[in-house]
Amino acid sequence: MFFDSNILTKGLKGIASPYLTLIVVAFLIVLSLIGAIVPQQGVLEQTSIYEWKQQHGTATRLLLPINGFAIFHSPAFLICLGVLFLNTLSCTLVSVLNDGLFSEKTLASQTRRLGFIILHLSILVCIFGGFVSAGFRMSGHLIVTEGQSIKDQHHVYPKLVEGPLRKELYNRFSLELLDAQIDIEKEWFPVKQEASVLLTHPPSKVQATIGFNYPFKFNNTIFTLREIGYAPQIIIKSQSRRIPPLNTFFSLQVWGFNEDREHYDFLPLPSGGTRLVITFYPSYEIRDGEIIKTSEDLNNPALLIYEEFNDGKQTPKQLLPQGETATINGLDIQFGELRQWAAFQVVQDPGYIIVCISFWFSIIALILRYSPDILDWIKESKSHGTS
Amino acid sequence: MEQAETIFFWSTVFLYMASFMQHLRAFIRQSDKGIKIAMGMLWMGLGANTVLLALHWIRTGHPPVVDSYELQLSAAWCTILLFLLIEKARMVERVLALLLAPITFLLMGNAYASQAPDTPMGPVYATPWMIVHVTFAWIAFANYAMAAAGGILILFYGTADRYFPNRLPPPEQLDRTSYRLIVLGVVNQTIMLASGAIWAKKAWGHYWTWAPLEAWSLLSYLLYVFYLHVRRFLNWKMKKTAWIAAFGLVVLTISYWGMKWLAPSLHPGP
Repeated sequence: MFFDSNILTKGLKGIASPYLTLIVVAFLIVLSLIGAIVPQQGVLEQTSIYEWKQQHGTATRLLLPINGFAIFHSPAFLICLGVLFLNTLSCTLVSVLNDGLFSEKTLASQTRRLGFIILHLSILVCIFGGFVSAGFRMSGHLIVTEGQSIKDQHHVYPKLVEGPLRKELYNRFSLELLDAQIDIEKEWFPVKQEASVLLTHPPSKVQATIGFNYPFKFNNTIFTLREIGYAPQIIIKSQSRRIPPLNTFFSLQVWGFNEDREHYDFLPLPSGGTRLVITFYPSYEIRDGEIIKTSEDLNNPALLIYEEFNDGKQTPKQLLPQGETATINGLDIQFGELRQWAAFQVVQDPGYIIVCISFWFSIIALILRYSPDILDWIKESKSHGTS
Repeated sequence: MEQAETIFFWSTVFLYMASFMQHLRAFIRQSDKGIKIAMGMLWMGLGANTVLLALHWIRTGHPPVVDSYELQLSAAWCTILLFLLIEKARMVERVLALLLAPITFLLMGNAYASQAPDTPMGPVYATPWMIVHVTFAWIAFANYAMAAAGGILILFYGTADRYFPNRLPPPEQLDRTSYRLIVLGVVNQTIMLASGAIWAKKAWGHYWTWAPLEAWSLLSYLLYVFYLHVRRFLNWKMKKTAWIAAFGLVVLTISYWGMKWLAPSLHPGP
């Protein structure tokens, strides 16, 4: 035996205890259960979480002290992962130091042992990779309209979220959207989406096409295409109200998928205290006085607009085909050009490659660890079978 | 083509159902020949299920893994195929089919309920990682479903043996099979999680977002890791581990099918 009875040995063996593993895994199961049931920040919209809190008062009171709405970033979860890391590390160390790497006699036992060691090392690497990702990652969701650069949109940079351990605040790149393409099949289903962009990070400059599942890497930053939508040009002039003129390409949010796709958003009116609710129809027809979307193809684009006041009251809805002007409550609203916007996920994640390596090793390790058992199973079935 | 699909859909349901009824009858009467007939019917059901999937694939032009209807059909096909293959190799007990059948009926029923106009394959699915991810997900599910069936038989062994003596294999044998199936499930689920993470990185920029479906997937994975550890270190066997195997199927059911009712997610569920 390599270790004798000293405090360090006892401590190491205590941390390496399989009972501790069971307790930690049980805790992780409970915390994951909370995270799987309770809406989590960063995954769902704040409004959904707010509504959930309103509906479940008692549960909310119990969950708030343990950071239940961000359970996977809570101290409890991080402590569990930390303890699991130490437990796995000491378990592997004790095993290797006590019994050596290949002390087993049979090939099957040696294979199992090798699998056990690689598996536990890969768990360590995976947890380490997760911490690297959490600490050093830069991530952001950027929305750019065709012909514009993120420099034209002052609100873009604050959306880049930095890991707390990053020294560099953000990578001051520039992204210009040259063209966004969306192919519609069977009138409703977007089947191909691509964005042509110009990326600049002096002195480098590169033009690239980014598609779904085809991200582009530039200066260690991964650019992933997430969504393409419409940005109608809205020109507002006031006849009688004290609202400054407005001329903007307004990126309408995309809600739903496939035939349920809808394009609408709310445009707050400057100093008006009210908002314009804008819905975009790529193709439409009027049935029984109602406007019905007929396809996602751009056949006769139009906007449906109305003004909504703080007390919930609304002006009558007005249909505004492209190139025309409508007057709503003293405002002349013109639907000018139609462009597209593209949303990009911009990520620098040094932890990804570490986690990836751990995945591959864990698969190999599991096969090594359990292949002798599976072979025994096959042999058993050949000798006498189970049925 | 759509009419042919309808015919094969109902043929699949009928053959799976007939196989179940025949198996139950043979089980009660303790007839080996009857069980063999039930197995034959199950093979025929699998054949009909295969033709149904092939017809659907040819018609839509993409593998049947995109919408809910296709995913249920693939899940039923994969579960029965895997069971029949390893049963043919005499690695699992035939009696598990009695409990797999209700699971398959639920899948087929859910498929029928979620029929919708054909959806072309969206750009997110146009990657080989999708095939890897979905295939290993279904293989893992099939393994866990069989393990749960073994676990449930252990839990009700006493009752079943009292009313129908000498029909069931020894509980120790069921326990061993259940454990081995969970081992296979864990290996396949690891590959499913790894391929899903790589795909998510390419599609969304992040390999793990803690979306509800991911959290449930992790939960089921931890549960089976817990199973392997308690078996190894606490020497839990038979009823204790059978409870975990059976409960695992509940967690899996929620993570595979319950998510669309629980919370919206970037990850499209079955």
